[in-house]
Amino acid sequence: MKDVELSLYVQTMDRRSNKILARLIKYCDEHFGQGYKLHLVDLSKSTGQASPLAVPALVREFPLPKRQAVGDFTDINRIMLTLNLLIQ
Amino acid sequence: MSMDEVRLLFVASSKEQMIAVNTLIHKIDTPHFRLDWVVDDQKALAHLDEFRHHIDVVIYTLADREKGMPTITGMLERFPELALIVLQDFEHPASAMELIEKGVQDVWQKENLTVAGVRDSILFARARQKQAIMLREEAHDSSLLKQRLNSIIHNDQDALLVVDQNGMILFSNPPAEKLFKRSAPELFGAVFGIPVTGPDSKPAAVTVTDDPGKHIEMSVTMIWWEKQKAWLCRLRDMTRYHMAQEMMKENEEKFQAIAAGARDAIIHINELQNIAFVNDAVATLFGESGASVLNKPFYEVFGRQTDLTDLVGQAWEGQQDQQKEIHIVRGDGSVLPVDISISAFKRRGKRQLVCILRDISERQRTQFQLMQTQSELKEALQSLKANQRKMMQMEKLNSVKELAGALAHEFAQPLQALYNYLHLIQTSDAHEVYFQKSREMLNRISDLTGSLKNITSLRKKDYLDSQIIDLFASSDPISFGNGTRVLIIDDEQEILETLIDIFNNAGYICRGAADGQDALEVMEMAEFDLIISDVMMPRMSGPTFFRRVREQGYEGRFIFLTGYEHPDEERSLMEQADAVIHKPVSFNELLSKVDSVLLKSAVKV
Repeated sequence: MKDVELSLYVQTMDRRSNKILARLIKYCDEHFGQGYKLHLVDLSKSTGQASPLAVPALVREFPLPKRQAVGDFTDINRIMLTLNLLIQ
Repeated sequence: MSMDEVRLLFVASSKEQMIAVNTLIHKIDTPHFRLDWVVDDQKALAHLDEFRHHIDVVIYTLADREKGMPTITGMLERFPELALIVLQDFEHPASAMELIEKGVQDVWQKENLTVAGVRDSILFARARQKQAIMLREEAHDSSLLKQRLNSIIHNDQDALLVVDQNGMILFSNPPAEKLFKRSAPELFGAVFGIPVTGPDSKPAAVTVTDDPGKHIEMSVTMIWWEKQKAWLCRLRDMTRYHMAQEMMKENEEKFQAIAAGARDAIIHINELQNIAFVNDAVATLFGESGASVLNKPFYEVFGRQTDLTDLVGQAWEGQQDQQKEIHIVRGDGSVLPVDISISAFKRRGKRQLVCILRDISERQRTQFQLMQTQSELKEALQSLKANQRKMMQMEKLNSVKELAGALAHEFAQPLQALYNYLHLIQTSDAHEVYFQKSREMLNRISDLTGSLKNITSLRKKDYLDSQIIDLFASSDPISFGNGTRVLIIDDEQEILETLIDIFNNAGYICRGAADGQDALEVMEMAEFDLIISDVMMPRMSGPTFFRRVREQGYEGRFIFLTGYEHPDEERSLMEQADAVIHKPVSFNELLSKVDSVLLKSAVKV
């Protein structure tokens, strides 16, 4: 089990989603190193999967309890703060 | 009236009772009690109607239960903000309980009254009443508030969600149920996620997974909800706005592309008479630097362009769709002619102008060049006409030369005949005959001269050809003799005849033919040592005949007898013959040439 496990839900892998993913990976690489796992869920391709009510959404799968953030992903620090994962 | 003052109305049953209570109350140090009193129930109610806001506590003396109870009920109903204490004149515990239940704050027994008891009872009654009022008011306010809030939330066009600190939905309004395609109970407790907005609380663009085609903007406010912090999320459908924006952007881009690509200068003047737009062609046309003129007053930027500002002024005054040719002054001071069209349109009800200017200097230059070319062409045409006249004169001259040649030929024939006759007169016995023929020949020359008098123009050359040349038609062939065999070919019958006579007299065996064709037929029947041929003949000319006989293997001598200068091609053929003798020629000369040709052939053999 990794220290941190995240799921990023996007409607489709457009330019905006790519940017979010790139920012997220950069943040995780810098702050969690090898100790994280990131799932990407492209809702336009996955079927039958339980999806959030609104996207883009980032779910902290681990550490428990699960926590979910939705909205503007311009500032990754704010998202991490929301998910109690911010490391300064 | 101090805040600590407690105002009392005492409804007494007797004066003595009033004095007793007043004595008690006056013994209380703090707070200060102010006591009004009345002894009649009706007076009490009237007093309360008038001074209710100046009274805190009413002390009512209940003397007769039957009579007093309706008054107490009435007072409690009419003045709910007042604290009511009942002083019982009689002992009846069940009555006291009944009164408390009705809303009376305290019940005093006449016998048990003490200073401290009275004071505490009054103060508590007042405090409880205040509290009750406050609570009642609060309850009232809160129910109003709830009503208002519900009305706002339910009537809001946007979807509203209240989300707790863990991202769980606590509340949703009907538009939210519609947006998420779930009922309120289904949404309650569902995870929405902790809402995050953009920098400076800018609304976040989100996609609702059940309806991904919609553009949703989420704005978030922190609120208190059921005694805990929560987020109020407002989800607004911006799909139509986005579509409109995209369309506007597209239109804007289209317009920009058209304007940028246009060679005409485009100026858009807005309702404030400021420049709202110019394309690149404007700077090029006016020869100005690319300094931005956007949002600057039109009259300030183009003040020196009087033609332009005059027309724009007229357009502002409502003169529609101006189209004219004007002059503008360029940055370097030069003046440029332009075509201008000004059209007006309205944006948000306000008049706007669009000026389109086209540089027509090139057009004018082309027009000028065209005019120049036209005049040059005219000159060239005139000189061409002059040349043509010269050419015609030259042609005429050539014709005259040709005519002169033809005339020389025509005269050469009869003159040659005349020579021949003169020779025959000298050498033959038949003088009379040849003399007669010479006369005839002289007449012909005379006729020829007469005919020539009629030729006054070049067109008469045809006449000359047909009339004069026909005078000398072909002749019949003559008979053979012995000696050197000679074939004489000439279309002039007189010449042919005289030559045959002369050659026969000189000891040759002579035969004649009228032209080349005739001669070929003669040669099929006889062989010849010498052929003397004219050049110009009908049917087959001399040179053609020469070529043909050489081709057919004729090896004898060949002499051309001509009265005319010939084209190069014929001349080169003629030069291959043994001799070319020009008419007119004397017979002695002719015979000596013939002798020399024949001698050459004898030497060769």
